[in-house]
Amino acid sequence: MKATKIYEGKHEWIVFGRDPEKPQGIIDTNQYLVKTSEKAILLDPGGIEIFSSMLSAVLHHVSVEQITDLFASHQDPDIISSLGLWDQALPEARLHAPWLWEGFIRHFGLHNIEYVPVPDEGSEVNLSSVKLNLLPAHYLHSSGNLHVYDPVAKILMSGDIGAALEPPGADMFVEDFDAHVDKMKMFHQRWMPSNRAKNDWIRRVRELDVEILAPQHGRLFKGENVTKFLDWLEALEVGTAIKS
Amino acid sequence: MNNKEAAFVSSTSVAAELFVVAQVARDMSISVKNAKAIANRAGTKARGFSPITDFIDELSIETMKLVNAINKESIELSRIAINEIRIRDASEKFMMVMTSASDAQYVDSLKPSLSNLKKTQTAERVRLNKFARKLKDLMDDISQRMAVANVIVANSRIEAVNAEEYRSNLESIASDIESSCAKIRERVNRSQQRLESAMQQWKGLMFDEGN
Repeated sequence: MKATKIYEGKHEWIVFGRDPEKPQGIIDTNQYLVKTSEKAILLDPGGIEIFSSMLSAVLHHVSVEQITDLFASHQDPDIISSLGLWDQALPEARLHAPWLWEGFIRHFGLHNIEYVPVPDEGSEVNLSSVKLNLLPAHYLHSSGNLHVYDPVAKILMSGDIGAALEPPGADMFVEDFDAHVDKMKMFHQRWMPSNRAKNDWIRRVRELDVEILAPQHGRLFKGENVTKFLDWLEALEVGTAIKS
Repeated sequence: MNNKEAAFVSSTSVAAELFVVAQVARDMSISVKNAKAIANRAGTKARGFSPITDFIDELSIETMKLVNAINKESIELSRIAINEIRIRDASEKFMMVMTSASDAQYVDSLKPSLSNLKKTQTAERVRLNKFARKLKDLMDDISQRMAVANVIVANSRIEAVNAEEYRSNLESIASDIESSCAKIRERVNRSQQRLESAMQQWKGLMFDEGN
C-alpha cells in the first residue's frame, strides 16, 4: 500500500491508499494516519479486505501501542468493517464515531475498543498537543456523518465529499481540476442525497482555512483546487436518483 | 462449504434437529393425557395404567426441559465456534503482517497482540470442548430416558389387555407413545452424529494448524 506524507510539522499526516494487493471489485480507499511523537489516530481505517496491507503499511510509521484512537466518519463497510481486527490489535484504543451508528458499527465486532459516541454537533479529539475538530457533515452521504479538521495542518478530511472513482494507481493529488470533474460528478450526484446539507457544509467549510481537502476515495485537493472544488460542488445538483 | 464453516453450521444444526424432538415430546405428553382420561373412565379395569401414564407424562415434560437446555447450550457452542473462527482469522492476518512488514520499524510492536490472540484462542477451544461434552451428556440423558420409556410402554400394553372395552384405545395410545420414543431416539442419534462430526472437523482444523 502506498503511503504519502501530506503534512509534516510538530505532527504528521500520512495518507495510505492505491493498494496493489486489494482484491478486485472493491472500491479503492484512502486511509489517514495523524501522528504526534506520542500518539496516533487512524481516520477511516478501511474495510476488512485491506486490513493486512493497511496494518503492514502503518507499522512503518508508528508502533501498535502508539495508536490510541480510531475515527470512523460513518458506518459504511469500506470505512470501518476492519474494526473487529483492529479490536484485537488495539484493545486499549478508543473509536470516535457518530452516536447515531453505535448500535450498527458494533456489528463489526467491538469487544475491547471503547466506542466514543460523537454528538450531532461534533466534538474534538486531543492527540497530545494536537487538537482535531470533528465536524458535522450529516447526510453527506450518511445520515450521521463527520469530517475531521486540523487547524494547524489546515487539512480537512472530508470523507466521501470530494471522492472520485478512478482506475487503480491514480496520483494522490488533483493536478488538472477540469479533467478531474468527470471522475467525481456521478459520485456526488448519486451518493449525496441532500442539496440543503451540501450547501450548509460548503458555507461552513468556506469559513475554515483549508490547504488540503482529503477525501476517502480518489485524489486530494490542494491550494486553489480546494476553492475550485467548493465552487463546483455548490453548483452541482445532488440526489439525482429521484426523478420527479 | 469449507471445514471451518461446516464446523459451526453443524453445531447450530443440532439445535434445529432437537427442535423437532421438543415437538414430538409435546405430542407424547398430549397422548399420555388422553391415556390418563381413558384410564380414569375405565376405573378398576385399567388400574395399572395410571402410574404408567403419570410416569410417561413426567418423562415427556423432562424431555422438553432437556431439549430447551440443549438448545441454549448448542447456541452457545455455535457462538464460541464463530468467535474462535474470528480469532483464528485475526491471528492469521497478524502473522501475515509480521511477514509482509518484516522490514517495518515497528513490526515487533504487534507481537503482544498476537500473543494475546493465541491465549484467547486456546481459552475458546477449551470452552468449545467443555460445551460439546455438556451437550453430549444432555443428549445421552434423553436417550436413556427413551430406553426406559420403551420398557414402560411394553408394560402398558400388558395393562391394556385387562382394560376390556378400553383395550384398543389404550393400545393405540401405547403405539403412539412408542412411535414418539422412536422418533426422539432417531433425532437425538442424528444430533449426536452431527455434534461428533462438528467436533471432528474442529479437531481436524486444529491438527492442520499444527496445534
